[in-house]
Amino acid sequence: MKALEYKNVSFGYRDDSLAVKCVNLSVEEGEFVAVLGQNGSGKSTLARLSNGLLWADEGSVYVFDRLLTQKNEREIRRDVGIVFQNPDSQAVASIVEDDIAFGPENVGIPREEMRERIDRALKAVDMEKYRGAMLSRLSGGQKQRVAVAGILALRPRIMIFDESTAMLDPRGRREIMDVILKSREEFGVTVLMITHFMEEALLADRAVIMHEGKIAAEGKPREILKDADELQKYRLALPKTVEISRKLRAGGLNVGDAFTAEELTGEILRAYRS
Amino acid sequence: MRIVVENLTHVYNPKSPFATTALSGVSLSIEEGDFFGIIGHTGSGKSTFVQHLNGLIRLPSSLKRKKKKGDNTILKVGEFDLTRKKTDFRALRRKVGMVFQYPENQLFAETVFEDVAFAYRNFSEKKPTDQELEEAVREAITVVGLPYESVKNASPFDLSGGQRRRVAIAGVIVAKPEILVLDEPAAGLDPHGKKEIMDLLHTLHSSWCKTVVIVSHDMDEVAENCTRVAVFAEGKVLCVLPPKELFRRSEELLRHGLDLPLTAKVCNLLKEQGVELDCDYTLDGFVKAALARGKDT
Repeated sequence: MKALEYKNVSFGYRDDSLAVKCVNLSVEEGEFVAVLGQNGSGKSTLARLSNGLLWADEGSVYVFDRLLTQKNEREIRRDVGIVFQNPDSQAVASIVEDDIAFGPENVGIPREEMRERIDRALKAVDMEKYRGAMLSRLSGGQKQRVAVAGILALRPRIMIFDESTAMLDPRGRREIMDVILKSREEFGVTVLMITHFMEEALLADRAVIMHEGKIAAEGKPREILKDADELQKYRLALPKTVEISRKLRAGGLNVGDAFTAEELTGEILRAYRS
Repeated sequence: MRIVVENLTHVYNPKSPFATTALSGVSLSIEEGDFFGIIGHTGSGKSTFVQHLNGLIRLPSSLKRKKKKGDNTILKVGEFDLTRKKTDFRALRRKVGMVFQYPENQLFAETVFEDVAFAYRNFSEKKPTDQELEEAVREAITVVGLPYESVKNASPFDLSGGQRRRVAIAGVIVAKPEILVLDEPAAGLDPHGKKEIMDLLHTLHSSWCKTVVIVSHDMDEVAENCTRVAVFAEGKVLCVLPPKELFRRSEELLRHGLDLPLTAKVCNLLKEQGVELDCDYTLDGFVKAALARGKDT
């Protein structure tokens, strides 16, 4: 079943230019899609068109085969949750726990279940200690974790992360990534992840590159992320592991393209031994 | 200008139930000419530390007429003694430019010119003439790599993320600081934007600002660019080392919740398999060492 589908969707913030131009994209239920692209390529706009935060000027958006309209946007918003880049712009309460409870409360989750959901969400993002803390006293990275916990507690069927890990350090980023992958396994959540980190994109089932409001390329992350010329065109870069593999190869060491530190190590050892 | 810090402690909300010690007994020095890196886990005190460098956070002693007895804190930036009340903090801020996280969020003026000009007027001792102003703004915008004539009348909000960040940096360097401090300068940019900002910092380092200090979570960035690196953990400085020596101590870094650059990760994995590479952990340094090793075997 298709979880999310864009059909010929166009949108412009002003009359003279379109931020999203005639996009066709469909995401299967349970699929994990990474969206790459330079700043200003239309990624965030595309995310906001998914649940009525923005309305397409042309074309239509379907969520689990229902056409998104102003009549059913509230219903659809229960299915599509978005976590944004800047946590300050999405906090609604002053206490961590209240902020996480806001979403589930709004959709009428019973009290007992809500308790359990909040506990699990806080645990998943490693913020149990801060349950009663004031949001304003947390660091940017901690606020970002609370924002992710908020969406985990709500358990929408589609989760969209719009550079939601940008303010975290690498370890924090990996932890959030693990949480996302786990919710996928456990609840079969569909994930759309907008990111600048090539390592995150590698974990996806499919990578989509946006450029100037259009979908410029899509495919298996490993296929998409090894085409240096194409990536250059979209102002993206090869993953560092691939860059090193290419440089070694240019220097006469016979290594194949590697996408992780482990693969690179394996390739180098293999080349030494042969 | 040399930065000397000894025994620096900072407590947020002192004498209240919310009291948290962000820095405790920090000592380090940053030399003129350093491209200095500051790393550490979230909440380790990095940002609190750099905010001391231009007096955004003032030492309690600098707010009172007399120092407390037994206060042995030293905080000096060149000739400026930041522990004293009579220090000219305005003059200090001209010498130490500070670029915050996501500085483009602080742009406010209707045009790029006005945004950078505002900063220049603010930092000037007397009101600059129109010509002085135009020259200074033109120079700053040009040096951050933007085409002056075509962007000066543009709204900052019409520019791309990377360009907006450049405008924000132009607004800081327009005062010609000797020391430039940046908190996560490349965070949130696309890979190209990241590289451009780091290249820009090197350009500034070799021309405008003698010393550059960056706070970073990106170990690849630190390994690639910094001359020396301070590691913060729980409000203390663990060590100050050049990347080449620092990333050799991988166990210690991992223990403190820090990451390693890709090159160090691969070096460690190779070592487990009995292959030791001697490299400086830059990407090119790694490639060179791996190739040299390949020729030996």
